[in-house]
Amino acid sequence: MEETGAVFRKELVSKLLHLHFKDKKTKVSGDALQLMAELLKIFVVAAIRSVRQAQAEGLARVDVEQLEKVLPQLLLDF
Amino acid sequence: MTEEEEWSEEQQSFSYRQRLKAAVHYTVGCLCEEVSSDKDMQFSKQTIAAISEVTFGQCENFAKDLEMFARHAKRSTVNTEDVKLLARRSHSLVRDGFLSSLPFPIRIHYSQLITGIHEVIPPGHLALKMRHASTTQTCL
Repeated sequence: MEETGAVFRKELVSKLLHLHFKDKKTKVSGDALQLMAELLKIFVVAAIRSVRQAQAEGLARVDVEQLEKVLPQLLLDF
Repeated sequence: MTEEEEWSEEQQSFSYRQRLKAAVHYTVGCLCEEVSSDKDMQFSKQTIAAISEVTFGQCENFAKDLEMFARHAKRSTVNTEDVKLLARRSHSLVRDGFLSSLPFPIRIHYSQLITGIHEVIPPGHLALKMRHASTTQTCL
């Protein structure tokens, strides 16, 4: 299988997390940011692959209806 | 703070959120392109936008949980143990054989993530476990 090259940049992950922290003093270690970037990527790829699996054969476009079908299960897993 | 200053601050934080959402959208778009490049498949703009929205929204849950885990351990710095705890429920993705459909390098990182799963949650931590009980309806 090909290796996917797109990543969530650590800076972006940091900003995304800090946006929602209640305490200003909360920080995130570099390793934790790295793991979070992985987790987000896995989350997105899982969503993408869920949609693909739900896709009927022969269809060339994936639409929101497919995503809506698989999203509840995906969110429950997390 | 005057009303004007409040409004200006609100606008600034709104556009900051928008910029973050746009950055997420960009990364999600890149991932969609890569994952679908070998097949003859396109993702509609709405689908990419939908995945981005959900991802952005999930970050709020992730952030709040991580902060709570660190605080619970009497730390102010979130570390890898907190992230592993966050990923524990994704164990079900492994059970259902979902993992096998992920590209190989991601699978490796993923198993590294879940090796730190705590097997027993002591009764004292029940409150922590129940924190989502009142908010099971997530955005959809």
